[in-house]
Amino acid sequence: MLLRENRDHSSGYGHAYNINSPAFEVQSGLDQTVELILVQVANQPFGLLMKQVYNIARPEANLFSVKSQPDPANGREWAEIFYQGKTLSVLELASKLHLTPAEPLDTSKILLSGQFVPGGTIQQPFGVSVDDIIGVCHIGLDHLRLLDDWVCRKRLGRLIWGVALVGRETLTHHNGSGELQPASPFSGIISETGPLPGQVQRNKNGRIAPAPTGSSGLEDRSRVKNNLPEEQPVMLLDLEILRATLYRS
Amino acid sequence: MDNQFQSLSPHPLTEAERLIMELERRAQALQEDQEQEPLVSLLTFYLSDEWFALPLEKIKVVTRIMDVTPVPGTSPFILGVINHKSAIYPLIDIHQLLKVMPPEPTRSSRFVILQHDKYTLAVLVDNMGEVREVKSSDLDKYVTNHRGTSIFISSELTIDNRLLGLLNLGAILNTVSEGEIQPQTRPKD
Repeated sequence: MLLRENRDHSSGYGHAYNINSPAFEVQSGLDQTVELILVQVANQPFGLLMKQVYNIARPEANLFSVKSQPDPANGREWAEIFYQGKTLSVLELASKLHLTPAEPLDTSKILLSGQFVPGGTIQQPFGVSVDDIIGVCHIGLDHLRLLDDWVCRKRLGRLIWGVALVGRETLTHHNGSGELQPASPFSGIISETGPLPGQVQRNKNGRIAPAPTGSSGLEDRSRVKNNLPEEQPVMLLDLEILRATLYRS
Repeated sequence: MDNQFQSLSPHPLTEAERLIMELERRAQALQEDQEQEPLVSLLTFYLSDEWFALPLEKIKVVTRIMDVTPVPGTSPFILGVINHKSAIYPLIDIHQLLKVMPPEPTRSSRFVILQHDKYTLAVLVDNMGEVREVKSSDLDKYVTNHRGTSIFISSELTIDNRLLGLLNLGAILNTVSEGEIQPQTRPKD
């Protein structure tokens, strides 16, 4: 099962292309990929559609300076930065996801987004701050899954629109600190869980055979590998939802 | 003497009488068959020390514990999503709902992946039991309210002097999703 981007290429002057929407149409038989930018927020990877991001402002390059921090008490949930001589509103992705950011705004990376219109101009620009940028990857559309509405739509709306199955090697952190993944409540015992009843080995007398002793390290590794799929689910976020939220308010 | 002997001997059955008896026997057997209730298979499992069950027909697979990816903004009963053979399932923890003290996950913990209506999800359980077959009429024994968990248990059965609670998945999902799934009626049939 593959997915096809649902583009609204309605003709006529002044129509905005709906190329930012992550809404996809199910279609089979096509070999397509989608380009994702993987970011880190609160030590968890998230995926954003590359086509929704037009630039990245990194703090080390002094590309931006913080003008004002969010002021939720007065109804302003966004920060403001100076970027290329203009003031730009920036939303903190961690707070939108009800997570705790690891980096303050002035040291976080800011993804620049907006509404792309024909002619290359960008309307309603805004920024989204993330803790770090993991990288860019191409994911086959057959590796995208939709998330059931009841899982998180009540609190987050359509901000999380799906899940991508991303290879674990892609999520290896660039600074060599190891694999980036959220803290699973079962990570300590994943390799220790016993066999299922149907997997119990019985000898020819019908008795349960004892577990082989002295198993090689290779077998141990493969056992762990079997419990850890090669692909890790990564939540996919829709920046259009944040833009609509920002400019509606 | 000859006449007396004939009167004491059993009266030979006519062909019609034999047919009537055979038809009556078959009718009685048919009635007994109809009185036998259909059996329902239940997959039993444990949450802490308490014994619960789900209809076997709803179970897709039971799997060992695997990596869980948290989902931001979910209900506190949703632990995250799991990747089982490239399919993504939400994983829910029903200990709190059923007022059962959640123990630390152990070697015996399992994920039960099940289908309820159009929803497929995984449930964390502490230990697996066996498959039990019970009469369908036994499932009509509704639970009296105790500990405030009765809406999550559609019926209670006593098997081998142990209490077995059949979970009401509709009510559980309704609470887990906080009203985003329409409430389900009790599974009477």
